Amino acid sequence: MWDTLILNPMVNSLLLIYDVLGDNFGLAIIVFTIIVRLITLPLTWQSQKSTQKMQELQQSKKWQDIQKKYKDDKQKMQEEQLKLYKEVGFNPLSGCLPTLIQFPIIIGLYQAIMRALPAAPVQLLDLAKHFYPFLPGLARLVPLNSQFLWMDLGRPERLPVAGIEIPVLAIVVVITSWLSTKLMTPPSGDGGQGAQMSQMMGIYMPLLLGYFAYQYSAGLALYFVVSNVLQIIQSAAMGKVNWRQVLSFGGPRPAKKA
Amino acid sequence: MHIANLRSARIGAPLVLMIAAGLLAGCSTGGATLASSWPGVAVTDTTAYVAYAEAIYAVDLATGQQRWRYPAEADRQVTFYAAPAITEDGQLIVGGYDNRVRRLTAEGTQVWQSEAAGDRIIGAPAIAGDLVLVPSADHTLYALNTASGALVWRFEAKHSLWAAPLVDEGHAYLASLDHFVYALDLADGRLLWERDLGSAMADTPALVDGLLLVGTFGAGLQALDAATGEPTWSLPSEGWIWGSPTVAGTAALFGDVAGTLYAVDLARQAEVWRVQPDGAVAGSPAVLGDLVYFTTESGTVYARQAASGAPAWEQALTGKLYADPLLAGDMLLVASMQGESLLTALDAATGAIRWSFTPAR
Repeated sequence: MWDTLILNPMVNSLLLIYDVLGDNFGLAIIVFTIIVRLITLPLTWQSQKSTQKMQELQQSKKWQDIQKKYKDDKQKMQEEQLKLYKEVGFNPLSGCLPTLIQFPIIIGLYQAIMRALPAAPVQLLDLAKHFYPFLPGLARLVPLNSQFLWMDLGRPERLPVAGIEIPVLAIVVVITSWLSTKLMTPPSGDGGQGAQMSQMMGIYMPLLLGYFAYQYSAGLALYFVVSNVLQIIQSAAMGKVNWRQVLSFGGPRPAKKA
Repeated sequence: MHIANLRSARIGAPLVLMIAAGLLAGCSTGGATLASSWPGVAVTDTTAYVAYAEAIYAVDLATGQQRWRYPAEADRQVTFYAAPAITEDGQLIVGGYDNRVRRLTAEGTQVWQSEAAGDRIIGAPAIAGDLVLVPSADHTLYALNTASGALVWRFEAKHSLWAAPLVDEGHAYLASLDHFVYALDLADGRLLWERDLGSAMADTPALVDGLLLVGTFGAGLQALDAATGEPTWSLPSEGWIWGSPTVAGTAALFGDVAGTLYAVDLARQAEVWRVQPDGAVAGSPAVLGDLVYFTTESGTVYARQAASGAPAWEQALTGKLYADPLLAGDMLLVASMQGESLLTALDAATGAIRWSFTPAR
């Protein structure tokens, strides 16, 4: 089921792109990531819209009043918040569903990237099962050329500078992940659980991705970088980027009144 | 990545876990650093040697009991999957995923080790007189002196070498993932000819009457003139051919990963019969008398009449049977990946299980 719907189409398209781009797997990862992000754009667009609506709602007077009025009765507060959602016609799940739908696509994307660069027999044998029989030419692309710039995309990336091996890509992953998180942190006066969670994610997520980029193959790290950059561009295009946040090292700052 | 979305939904924590789980799933199944393969097996008159993951196990053929393992204590940095090569005096030469080649005595004591290779040894070494030829994932074939481990010559291919070379009368024939078959002079590693077949190869060629037979990923079975490398004929297959073809009389037998076993008449260069077992056939078939033996990814051992493909017996084991089944006297040895037993000895005539070997934890 997973293979049929997600992985096989992705592996085969990735290899087709690789073929078209003259056997350059680095470029293939970049182009493939862009295409997948474009296809899922309506989903991300909808969830970002929903985020925006949620933020507007949270900054509204009615919301603030509910927060104050029922601060000692959490259950009542939630009931009132739900009422408010209904009143303004906002479905709190409308942001969640598109996000959930994206996950299989994201997971499939990097599984496809990893599978296309098998480093050992079991992995190559596994790759053989993902080829479409009606595209027999793809088998002849194996093994893929994994060299891209200074990297071997099938191995963890290190750039030797003056005898020291520097994990450049892992550093770039941390920076771009941190930037994309930071840039999109909304100005929020709510110092509660949500804001704390955002702050934690803003620290742990870039470190987690950086660790993966350091530990696993450069192809995966390249995907992270491209994905982060696209996320930043997409948010910028939607006018959602909050450049002021980049300079703020604490939690999200309270919004300044215009 | 997608942080803003998560935050909005206020269901951040579970989703972060999902991302992490997804990432791990992706990395653990396809991550380049997680190198793995199936067991490599070699056999002498008395002992089967199984290279699998953390150790090489010496298993007594008569009893199925472990005689020794190397290294005695597991070391996560050292793993073995390539079948050991057996020297004339019954010692072992083994290649590891730690890039090293070691010579071990028949009692499992290290004699020498070579650090010539720059990447993992995935394919089995091959003995050629006083040389041992070791294919490495660093694209290079290393010829080492069997007595000392000293490097004698090396030959660089265009991509990883995962297959043992075939040694015959002063020549070494090498099939590579880089789509090329190479013929080398054994004395000095000089290239005699090379031939681009347009498809990767992961196992050793077979040689019969001056004809090299090699299975490919996507270009079926290819037959080349061993003297010149000139393609003579080819036969398409449904899927990738991983294991070496096995020659029995006038026929060649080979399986593919789409799950078909083929018998080809070499004189007529035509298919004689094919059968479709219950899964991918990655290993080379074994032939004894009238019977051909082959194993599948689904864990079944098949014995068929080599002439007609008619069923003789079947035996279901556990795990994935990618490794070549090997004959030891009247027994068929089958090594399993992720099975309950690592090595099972079957009666070659009936398929009855004689013994099973599972390494002690």
